[in-house]
Amino acid sequence: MKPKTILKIRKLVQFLFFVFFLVFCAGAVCAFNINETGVFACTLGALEVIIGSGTIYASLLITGAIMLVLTILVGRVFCSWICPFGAVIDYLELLIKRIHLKRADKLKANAVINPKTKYGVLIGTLAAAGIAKRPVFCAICPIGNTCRAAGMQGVMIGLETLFVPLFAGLSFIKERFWCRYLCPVGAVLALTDKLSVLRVKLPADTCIRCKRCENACPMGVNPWTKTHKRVKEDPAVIAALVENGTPDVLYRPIAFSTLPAEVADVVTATAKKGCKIPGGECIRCYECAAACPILNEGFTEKVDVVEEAAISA
Amino acid sequence: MATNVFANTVTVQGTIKTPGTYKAEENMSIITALFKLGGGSAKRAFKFAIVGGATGEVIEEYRFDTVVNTLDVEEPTIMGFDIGSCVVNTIRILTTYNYQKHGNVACLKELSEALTEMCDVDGEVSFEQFKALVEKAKEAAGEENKALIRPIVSALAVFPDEFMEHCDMKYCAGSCCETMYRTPCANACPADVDLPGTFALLQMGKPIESVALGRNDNPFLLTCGRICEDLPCQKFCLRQIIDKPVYTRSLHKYAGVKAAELAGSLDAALDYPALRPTTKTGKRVAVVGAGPAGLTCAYFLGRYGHEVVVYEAMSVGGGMMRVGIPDYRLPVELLNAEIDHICKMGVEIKYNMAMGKDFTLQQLRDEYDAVFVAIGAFKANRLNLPGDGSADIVTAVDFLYAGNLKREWPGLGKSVFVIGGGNVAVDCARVAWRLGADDIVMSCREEYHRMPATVDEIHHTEEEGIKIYPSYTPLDVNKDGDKYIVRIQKLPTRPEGEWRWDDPIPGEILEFKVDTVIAAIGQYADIDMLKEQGLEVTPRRTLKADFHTFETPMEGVFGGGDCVLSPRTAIEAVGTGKRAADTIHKYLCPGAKTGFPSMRKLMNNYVGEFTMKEAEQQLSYVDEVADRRDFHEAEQPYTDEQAFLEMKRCICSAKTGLRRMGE
Ligand SMILES: Cc1cc2nc3c(=O)[nH]c(=O)nc-3n(C[C@H](O)[C@H](O)[C@H](O)COP(=O)(O)OP(=O)(O)OC[C@H]3O[C@@H](n4cnc5c(N)ncnc54)[C@H](O)[C@@H]3O)c2cc1C
Ligand code: SF4
Ligand code: SF4
Ligand code: SF4
Repeated sequence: MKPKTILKIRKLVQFLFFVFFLVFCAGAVCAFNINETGVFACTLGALEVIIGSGTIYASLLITGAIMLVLTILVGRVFCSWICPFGAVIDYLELLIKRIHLKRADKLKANAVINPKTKYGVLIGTLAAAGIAKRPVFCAICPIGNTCRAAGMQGVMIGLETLFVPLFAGLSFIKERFWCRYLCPVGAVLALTDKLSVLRVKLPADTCIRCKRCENACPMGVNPWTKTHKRVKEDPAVIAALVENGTPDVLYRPIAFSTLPAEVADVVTATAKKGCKIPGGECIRCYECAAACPILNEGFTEKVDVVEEAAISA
Repeated sequence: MATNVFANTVTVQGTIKTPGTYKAEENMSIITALFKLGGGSAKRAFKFAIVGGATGEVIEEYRFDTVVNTLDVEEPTIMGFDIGSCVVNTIRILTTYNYQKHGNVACLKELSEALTEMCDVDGEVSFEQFKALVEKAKEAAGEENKALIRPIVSALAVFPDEFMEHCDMKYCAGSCCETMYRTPCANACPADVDLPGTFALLQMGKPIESVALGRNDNPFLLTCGRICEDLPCQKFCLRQIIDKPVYTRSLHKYAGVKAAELAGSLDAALDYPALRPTTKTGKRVAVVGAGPAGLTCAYFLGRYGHEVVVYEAMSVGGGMMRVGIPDYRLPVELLNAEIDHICKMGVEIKYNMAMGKDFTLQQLRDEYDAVFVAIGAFKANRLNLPGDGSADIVTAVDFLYAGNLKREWPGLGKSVFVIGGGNVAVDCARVAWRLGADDIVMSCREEYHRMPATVDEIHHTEEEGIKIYPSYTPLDVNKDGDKYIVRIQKLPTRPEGEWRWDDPIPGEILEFKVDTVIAAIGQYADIDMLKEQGLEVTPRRTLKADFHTFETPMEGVFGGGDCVLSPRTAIEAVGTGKRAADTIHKYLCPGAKTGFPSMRKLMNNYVGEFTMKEAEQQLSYVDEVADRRDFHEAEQPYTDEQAFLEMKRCICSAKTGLRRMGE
C-alpha cells in the first residue's frame, strides 16, 4: 500500500475515533470517572489509580494493558490514530498552517524545550496521584476533557474543559507541542514504543535526499537524519567508502547505478536495517512516508519519455 | 625515508572514469596516475588528490605534476576528487575511519568530533580552536603516528579557507555538509537564489511572485536566465541522482516571459512591492562602474535604505553584459528593465563619468560614507605577434563594443579571423557573422574538447558556418595590401591533464588571407588607473580585496566583480556585489542586521509536485540558421508544457531542506 493511502486511512480512522469518543463514550473510558463506572482507564489512569489507592484492580490492569499491548504490536499508534485530543491538535494545525504562523525552528528537536520533559511530567503525575491519593492529573487531562466535553448526554462544558484549548493552543509555539514535550500518556507510550516491532520505513537505498520527510514530521523526529544520515555515518559504510577510495561519494548528487559496487552493497545492507525510523518519539502518523516521492511514485532511474508518450497517444 | 611504496602497483580511486589497480610507472606523477591510468575525472575538473590512502597527503590540483614516489606515504593509492568535493567532509570521514581502525591515538577522537561539529550548522568549533587542536594532535602523534593525522595537517595547509568557512561562516562550498544549506543549488549559486522556491511558485501559477522571490536575491535574475553559463546550481543539482540536472536557467527565463505576459509589461512585472526599500538611513554610498557587480551592490544598499550614486564611464549601464554579450543572447530591453528596477531602489546612475578622468577616488571618499569599486575588466590583452599586421589586430572588447552599440565595424570585410577559444572569441565570431562576414575562422591553442567555450556555444558557432581550428598557435600576421595574412601552426595534442604545451609541430602551418583579425585572449582590469587612485593591486592584475568581505586595504573602500576576481561570469560578479553590500551595510550601520525578510510565505505551505520523467532539452534554437542573421534573440523560451515538466523534475521544490532560512 502506498503511504499516501495509509495516511488517508489514518485520517479517517482518527476522525471515526474522535466521533466515537466524543459522542458515544463520553467519560466512560477514563480513570476520572473511575468511582462511578469503575472498569475502564487508560494506562496512565490505571497507574494513577493503583498508586493512589494502593490497590491493584484486575479490571484496570487489563484495560491499562490494552494500550501497551497495542503499542508493542504496532507502535505508538494511539497518538495519531486514536487519541481524540490528538485529533483536536491535528484539526487546529490545519488552521495554523493557513495563517502562516512563524513558529520555532521545526527541524531542531530541542528548539523549545527538551522532549524528555514529558517524562518529568509523567513522574510528577504519578507522584501527585500518590500524594493526593486520587488521579489528580485526570482532572486536567486534555484527552479526557475532550472526551467529556460533549456527548450523548449533552454538552457538559465545565471549567476543566478549558484545558483542552489551553494545551492545544501550545501548538501555536510548535507543532504538536503537547504531544512532543508534555503529554504523560505519550511518555508511557514512548517508553513502551522502544520495544515495538513495526516501524515506519523510508526507502532504503533509493532516497533522493529531498528531505520532504524531515519537514513533514509533526513530532520533530527528524526522520531523515535518524535514518539515512545515520546510515552514512555507520562504521561499516565509512570503512567501505574509504577503502574504495570514494569517501564523500554519498554526499554528492551521484546516481545509485554509478555507485561503486562494493560501496553500494554495504550501503544497501546497512540501509535495510537503518531506514526504519526508531521508536519512541515516532507516532506512526505516516506524514513522512506520505511526503516521500520515492515511496509514492516509485524509483525509476531514467523513465523513458518516448515510451510514455507512445502509451498516452 | 620509507621505501618506495609505488614500486610495483598503484591503485587509482575516486571520482575517475576507470578506477582500479595498475602497474606503476617509474617516476609517475599524479597526472599520469589520474589521467592516463584512471581515465581522467568522471564528470568535472579535479580539485585535489589524496596520495597514500586514508593516511595520505592532500595535494591540490595545480601540484598534480608531483612525482608520487617523492612523497613519504604508506599505501600505493591515489584518490582523485573533483570540484564537487568538500575537503572538510572528506577529511572528517578519513579521520573517523582512522579513529575506528587505530583507536584513540594522536587525538583522533577529538579531531573526529571537532570535524563532525564543523560539518554541522550547530557545531561550535571555531577555526582558532581547530587549529590549536591540530597543533596538539601533532605533538601527541609524534613521529610514529604522524601518518594518522597527515590528511588533516596537509589539508589544513592547502585549503585553510575552506576550514575557516566551515567553522566560522558555516558555509560549505562543495554542498556536502547538508545542515548548512537549504538545497545544494541555492548553496552553490553565488547570489543564493532560492531556486526551489521560484519553481514552487511557478508550479502554483504565480510567475510574478516567482520572479520577485528570485530577484529578492539576485536583481539580475532574468538576465542571468539568459546568459548564465557553466551554471553552478546545475552542477550540484540533486536531480542528478536520477537523471540530468534541472534546467534552472531556462525556467527563470520562462518565469520572466510569463510574468511579463501576466502583468502587461516587464517593468510592471518587476516592480514587486515587497522589494521596495522601507527605511532611510541617511548614509550615502558611491559605486564606481555600472556592471552587474556595481549595480547589484547598489540595489541591495538601496534596499537597506542608503542613498546610492553609481558612476559609469560609458553612456549605457550593464557593463560587459551590455557591451560585451551580444544582443541575440541577451535582449537590451530585458537588461534595461532590470536596471530601471534597480534605479527604483533609490539608486541614481550618473553616466559618462569615469574615475581617473572626471573624478578621483579621493573626491568620492570625501563626499560619501563608503565607496564600492567594480570597474570590471575592460583592458584587453594584446597579442604581440611578429609581422607588420600585428599592430592592427582588433581586440575583442573594442569589436564587441562597436558591434553591440553601433552594429557595425568599419572595414570588417567578408573574411574574419578570430584568435581565441573561449566564449568571448565565440561571441566575436558570431557577431562578425551577423555583421556580414561570411568566411569566419577561429583558432585556439586548446584541443577541441578542451576549449574553454561551452559546448552549446561551440555547437551554435559551427551551425552558423564558422570554422574552428583547435590546437593551433598563431605564428604571425602580415599585411598584404588591404588584407592580412595569418599563419597558424599545429600544436601536438597534449596528454590529458597536462596544461603546458610542447613546441608546435614543424612544417604543419596553415595560412589564411583575411580582412580583419580579432584577438579574444583575455581581459584585465585597468590597474594603472586603480594604482593612480591609491588602491592596491595584486600581481594577478586585479584589485586587492578580501574574498569574503570585499574590503580593500583602504578604509571605507570596497571592491568586487571582475576587477577583483579576474574575468569570470556575471553571476559571480552579482554574488560579490551582494556580499559587499552586506559588509558595507554593516560598516555604515554597525550592529545592523543584514538580509531581507523571507518571501517564502508566498508559497502558502505548498509542498510541490514531483515527476520521475526525464528532461527533454535545455532550450531549443527553433530559428533556422538563415533566420538568425540579425541581433534578435534566437533562443526560444519553454512552452508551458515543457516548463511544467521541467519544474516538476525539481526534487527539492517547496518545503524541503534540513536548514530553514528565515521562515
Ligand atoms: C564577450 C563577453 C561575453 C560574456 N558572456 C558571458 C556569459 O554568457 N555569461 C556570463 O555569466 N558572463 C559572461 N561574460 C562575463 C560577464 O559579462 C562579466 O563577468 C561581468 O559583466 C563582470 O561584471 P562587473 O560588474 O565586474 O564588470 P563589468 O560588467 O565589466 O562592468 C564594469 C563597469 O565599470 C565601468 N567602468 C570601467 N572603468 C570605469 C571608470 N574608470 N570609472 C567609472 N566606470 C568605469 C565600465 O564601463 C562597466 O560599465 C562575458 C564577458 C564578455 C566580455
Ligand atoms: S510517522 Fe514519520 S512523521 Fe509521523 S511521527 Fe513518525 S517519523 Fe514523524
Ligand atoms: S522524503 Fe523520501 S526521498 Fe525524500 S529525503 Fe525523505 S526518504 Fe529520502
Ligand atoms: S532538484 Fe531542484 S532544488 Fe534540488 S538541487 Fe536540483 S534544482 Fe535545486
